[in-house]
Amino acid sequence: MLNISHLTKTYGEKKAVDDLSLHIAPGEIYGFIGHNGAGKTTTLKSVVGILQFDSGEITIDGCSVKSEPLECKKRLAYIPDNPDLYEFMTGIQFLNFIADIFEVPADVRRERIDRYAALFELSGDLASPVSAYSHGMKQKLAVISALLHDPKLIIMDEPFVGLDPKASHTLKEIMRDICDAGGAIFFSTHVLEVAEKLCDKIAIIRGGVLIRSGTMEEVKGDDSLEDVFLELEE
Amino acid sequence: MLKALLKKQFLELNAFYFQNRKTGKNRSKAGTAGFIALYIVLFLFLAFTFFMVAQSLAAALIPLGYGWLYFALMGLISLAFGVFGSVFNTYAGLYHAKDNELLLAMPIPPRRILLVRMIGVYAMGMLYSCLIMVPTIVAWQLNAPGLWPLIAQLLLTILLSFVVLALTCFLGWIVALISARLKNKSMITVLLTLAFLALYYVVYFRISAFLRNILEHTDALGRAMRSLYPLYAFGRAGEGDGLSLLVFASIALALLALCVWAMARSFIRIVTMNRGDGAKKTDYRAQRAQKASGVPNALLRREIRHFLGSPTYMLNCGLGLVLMVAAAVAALIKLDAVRGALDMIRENMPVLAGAMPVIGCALVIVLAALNPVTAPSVSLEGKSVWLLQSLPLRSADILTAKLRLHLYLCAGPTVLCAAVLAFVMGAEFSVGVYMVVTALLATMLFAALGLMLNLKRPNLSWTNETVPIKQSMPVAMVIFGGWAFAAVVVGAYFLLRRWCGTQVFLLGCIVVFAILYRLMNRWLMRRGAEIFSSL
Repeated sequence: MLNISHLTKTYGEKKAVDDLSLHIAPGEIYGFIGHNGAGKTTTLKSVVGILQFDSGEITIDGCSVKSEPLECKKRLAYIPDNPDLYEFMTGIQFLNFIADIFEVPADVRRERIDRYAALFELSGDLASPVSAYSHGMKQKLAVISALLHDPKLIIMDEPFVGLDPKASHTLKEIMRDICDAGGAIFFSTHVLEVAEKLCDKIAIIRGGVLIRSGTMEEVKGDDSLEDVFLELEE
Repeated sequence: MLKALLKKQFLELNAFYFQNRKTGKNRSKAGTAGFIALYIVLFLFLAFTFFMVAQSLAAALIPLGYGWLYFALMGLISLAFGVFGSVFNTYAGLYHAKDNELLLAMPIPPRRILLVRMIGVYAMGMLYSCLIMVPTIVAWQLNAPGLWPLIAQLLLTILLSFVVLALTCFLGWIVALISARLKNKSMITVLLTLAFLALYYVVYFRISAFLRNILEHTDALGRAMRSLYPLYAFGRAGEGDGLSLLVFASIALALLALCVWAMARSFIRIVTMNRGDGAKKTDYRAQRAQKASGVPNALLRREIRHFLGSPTYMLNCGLGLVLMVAAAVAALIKLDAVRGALDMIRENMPVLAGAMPVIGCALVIVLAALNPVTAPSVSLEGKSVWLLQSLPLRSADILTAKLRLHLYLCAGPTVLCAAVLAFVMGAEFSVGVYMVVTALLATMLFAALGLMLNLKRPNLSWTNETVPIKQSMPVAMVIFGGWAFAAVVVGAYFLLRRWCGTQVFLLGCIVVFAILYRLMNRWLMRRGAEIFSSL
């Protein structure tokens, strides 16, 4: 589904991501962990096509992010760590805009909006302007908008920050459902307990370099993910 | 603390003008110098225009002993221009900054936050006031040189800028007080601001008429002085009268102090007031928003919502629309008077008779330049630019939507204004059509130019939307550059009229403008799209 091959990205003199390679197969929830400034967001933004990278190749479902960006973007959805959404729209106007861009038919979008808005308990607020939303509500709206076109791959940067426990639980269930249906999820998190319970595979990045990746068992063995992470960071 | 706040404000301004926001590096010296030079040229161009007015008044009034009246008249113009230049960003600049919560959560007295923000409003008002006051002083010194009057005039310029600040802040404060309690804020804020501005200019024109009346009936001077004493004090101070300078300084400072006091008292209440947006929850299904539409229309609708959702955007980039419609309506209402005036010009100045359609067209272009809708549109994407970049959209389509918004907003009023002007001046049908098409193409040029400039000088990390709208080089360049462009059109006509008539000239304009637009559009769809993708 997602293939990252020898990705390198520099900011001036600093290498934010250095020769990173990863493969995420359909049906996998892939966790991406690392300290602040390790290169997680840079990698995710490169995958989504909103950051030009220096070298390497990224393909989604066989399409190159560099040469066929639109085809790639049609297949994926992205939820950033701090969703700055359009504050001049209401929640429903925003969802409708996203659905228009992905050309989701009216009856399908109606059904999905109703379903996900009810799941995330946002139905009562969709008529309100996004400017009046709390951080958590914006995060919920970003999640709903990401699910509207039934993407094959979802890229998420710290998706659980700001969500209440119930919404976090709902999101985890949805993530599992998507992967069970053949989709894939690649997300970054600092909550190691969540990563340990939710992910099929995990990758640890430090200073832009991938230092360990594989199935949860391969990465952590008999230890906890926290112990392994702290040990690798030292 | 005040120093730290000022430093933050300065860093924001410095970063906006002199740094590439993506790399954090300073812009190239040549590029920065070029833009500064362009600003200076525009300033000088406008200042020269006002100098011509000032010089003719000074030459007529100073020898007659009415120097005070000269200063009073020019001071009024400066006040009007200063208020016009800064009033539209006052409300958003003072009350709607994105760092409100950050600053209010810190142990900073709210009045200091207010004071620092007022400096931004002050700078804008000062800039516009100086456009009049500098030529006014130069014209005075040419006609009646003197060191003490010069010092007094410079002090007067500073004092006048305080009055501009007090007036604009007062207008912004009233709008903030009212709109804090309203639900549909954007449109009502725009209407309120326009209403206050209209009221202000009605008073302004009455005072101007009053002064003209004095000029014609000097016996009424004594009465007038008594009833308009601050204005008289301003005029006398301009002549170098120390006591009058003291009186005017007291009035200006008292006015400013009163304004600051009133605003400081209510500042925290206004910025922390519940916005009232979600007081009553409504069913989103009732909004009938779940109607599917194509990508181009979805993008256009997004642009429209953005424009209508921001009073600052509407007021600063759409004022020309109101003025164009108002000019057309006024010309029709005063049809006989306007036609009489035009006939008089034709009789007394035959050289202008053939130029009427070109001058009329230039007037519409001047008004069209007051609508730089596309000029801040890229910067206004701000931190949410990731959305458009992560969606499966061609950047060219996004830019096209921005152009479409500009053209859809401006086309109607431009056509109306140009057509009414053609009708009022009794132009032949074909000339009328050429005028309309020329003005329309100029509008298209401004749309493309604004977008190009904003792509070259984007600012996505603003904390207050007045920064990309009001303190923006692309916006200033479209407005002032548009005015200069109108002057160039008229100048070109006078240069070429020996070889071509009005119709041929307008037809030539149409061809040149169309070619220019085609080239600019081509750049936007190729290079511009690449720039947008990499923002």
